Amino acid sequence: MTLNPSEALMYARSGPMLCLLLLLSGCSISPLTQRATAFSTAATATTLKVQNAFQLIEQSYTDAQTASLVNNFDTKGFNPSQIQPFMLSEAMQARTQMIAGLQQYATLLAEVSGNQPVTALDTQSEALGKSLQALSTSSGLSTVAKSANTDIGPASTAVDALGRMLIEHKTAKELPGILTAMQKPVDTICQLLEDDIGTPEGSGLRNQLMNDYFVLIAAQKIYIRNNEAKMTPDEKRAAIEQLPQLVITEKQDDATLAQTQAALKSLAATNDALTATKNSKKAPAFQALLAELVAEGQQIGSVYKATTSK
Amino acid sequence: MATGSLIPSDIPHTRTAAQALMDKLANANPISAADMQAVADATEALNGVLTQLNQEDMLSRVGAMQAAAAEVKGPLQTLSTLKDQLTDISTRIGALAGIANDVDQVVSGCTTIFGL
Repeated sequence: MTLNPSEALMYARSGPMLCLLLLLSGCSISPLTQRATAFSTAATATTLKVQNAFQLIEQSYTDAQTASLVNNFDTKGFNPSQIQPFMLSEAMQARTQMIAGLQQYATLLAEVSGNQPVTALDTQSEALGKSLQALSTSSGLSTVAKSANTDIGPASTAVDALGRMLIEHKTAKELPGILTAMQKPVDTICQLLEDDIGTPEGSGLRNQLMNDYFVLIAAQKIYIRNNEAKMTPDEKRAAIEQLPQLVITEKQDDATLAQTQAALKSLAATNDALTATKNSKKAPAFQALLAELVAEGQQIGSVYKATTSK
Repeated sequence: MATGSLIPSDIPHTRTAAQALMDKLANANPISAADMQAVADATEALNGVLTQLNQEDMLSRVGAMQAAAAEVKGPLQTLSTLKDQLTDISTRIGALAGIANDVDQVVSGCTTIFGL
């Protein structure tokens, strides 16, 4: 089973609903379950924005590529193979599933922190768990692992472990055990996604983004130079205005990817802190990291607003 | 003909050389239509080379070198063909200084890696 973005959204939206159910239940809540519920809310919101960020970058790249193809139609014609997604579809699907898995893990924490079983979420969790188990041996995951310059082995083990956890039906008393079992897989998956994003100068999606935009900018310059004699002043102005716009789009998309990396790092660190404080009544370090996670998630939103308002 | 720097023979060094050449081309800012076309064609070809190098790098890490020679051959030929023109442009545009050596490094490195 694979997840499309709308299914991923559905999983993400069930997290806050569950938190509300927990609040309405009025049960006495231990410090750990309170923290797990708070983490669940923040992690769900953050992973949703991470998912949106990937989709937004793909869309802005498609827009820029389309504009370039239109401009160069007279000299290069049109071949459908020229339309290439920024992220290969099988790798994009693998990213989507891993992020949905992290969302569902957050939901699972909220679920087991409650006193009553939530059957609908069990069904969702099981379906997603099975899809993650299938992903652990797929070529999509190995493509992401390769992009991240990392070994497929630990990535595959982590994705499979997360899948298995989502399939099993856990109860509240098992919360500490879940946190311990999932610490390494969550760390590995977040690290894999961070490395896959990479750096502009080095490798990964940020490097690919920068190089692809170099090509689009060079093509736009050629279009202007080859056609300026036939352009009106207004047409020439509009064509030239596309150049800084391409630079801005690349920078904004890169910033979105960088912010996504920071949010994933924060998500893993907060999950680690939650696990470390499973026997503690008070957890100031966790609270600080939780606040950071909320802020990182909000930041992705702000970069993304700037990008969409261009 | 390469001068100066050693010719890379592995993926990381060839990739670094290719990225450095890409950065140089991106900052060249040629003005005439012919210069602009040469730089744009080289940029596009180099992006194709970088994509194949990344692909090969990824595969080598999982022990599955595939030597995608067919995919990289075209872009490398384009780069080699443009070398003289880019060298000529570099006499007018300082940012492109040493470009012949840069092209040689990328072409030679890829020739070794992909067994061309």
